[in-house]
Amino acid sequence: MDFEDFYATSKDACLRAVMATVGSRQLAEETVAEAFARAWASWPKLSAHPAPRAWIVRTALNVHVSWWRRWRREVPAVEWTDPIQPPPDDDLPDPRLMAALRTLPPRQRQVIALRIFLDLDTETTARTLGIAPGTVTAHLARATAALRACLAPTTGQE
Amino acid sequence: MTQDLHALVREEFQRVRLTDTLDDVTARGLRVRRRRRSGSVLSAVFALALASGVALSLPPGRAEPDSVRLAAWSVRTEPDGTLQIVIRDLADPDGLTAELKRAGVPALIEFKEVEAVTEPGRLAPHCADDGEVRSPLLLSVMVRPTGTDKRAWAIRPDAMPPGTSMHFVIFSVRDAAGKSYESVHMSLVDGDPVPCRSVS
Repeated sequence: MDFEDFYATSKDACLRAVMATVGSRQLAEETVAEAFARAWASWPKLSAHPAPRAWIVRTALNVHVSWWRRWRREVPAVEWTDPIQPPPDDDLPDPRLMAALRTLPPRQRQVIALRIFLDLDTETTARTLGIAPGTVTAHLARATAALRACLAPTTGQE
Repeated sequence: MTQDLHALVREEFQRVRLTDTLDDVTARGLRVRRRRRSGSVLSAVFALALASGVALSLPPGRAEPDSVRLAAWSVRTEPDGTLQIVIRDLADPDGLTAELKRAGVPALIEFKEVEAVTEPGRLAPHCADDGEVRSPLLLSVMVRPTGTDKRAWAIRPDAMPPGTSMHFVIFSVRDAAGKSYESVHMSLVDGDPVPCRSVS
């Protein structure tokens, strides 16, 4: 697969996976764009990766962590607030779902992102996150149960 | 039941799409390659200098262009008037101060090396409160960068109230364990900034 095809078929899924993990569309867009740029710069090597979408998501999350660590160390003289402007509401998932995702521990969110949005199997998810396959299964079950509990009143009315 | 929930989550995110075009990504990818190459060149130059015992200094900063990768810093004025500042090496703060002044931003830039004590509850190195009158409008003047370039900031001169100045201090910190990191102090002050007296 050449990079153009990979980008066209993967960009939205990767953005959704990262957005579900970091909880911000703007941050997700920025870090996913950076991850794809790095992928393009290394495509001859990366094209042989067994799960390049997982590589994109993992790289985007690493970029996010590096970015956050850098800003956390900085000490503005007045408190620095987050000036991120939300995109139009009609492009965002249900706020109740985003709120429910934010209640999950980071590892559960990562498992949700890889299993649901990238449709990775348990083994590949485990390799990507560096955890045991059984742990992936457990995280997915807990995350699913937690989401169901958060969303139950909504789904019950529909 | 589980599959229904997962389908619901997928469905909710269906409208989320990455709007960057392939051209946007490849242009950014070119910058990634340039960063890697310049990093490799710098590493090789530093290694050669160390091996030969030659003192090496980076050239001072430039106002333009950003493509001069070895400049210690660069200042670029965007069409909307925003100043894009990239600091690659903590060198020539007076030159950067003067360059910002030429670009219409009264400022004091300082680079400081400090030793930090790492204890729970201790603050990162910062400037002592020496009577500098700081404005909360900093948040309107300093624009948070969306890129991931290290040490890149944007200033909106049009948002600075008359009579105010930017005070920008980068601490190069070495902690007791020998680890190095940087801490940045930014403030918008009424009048002239008071030179920073570091506290760690």
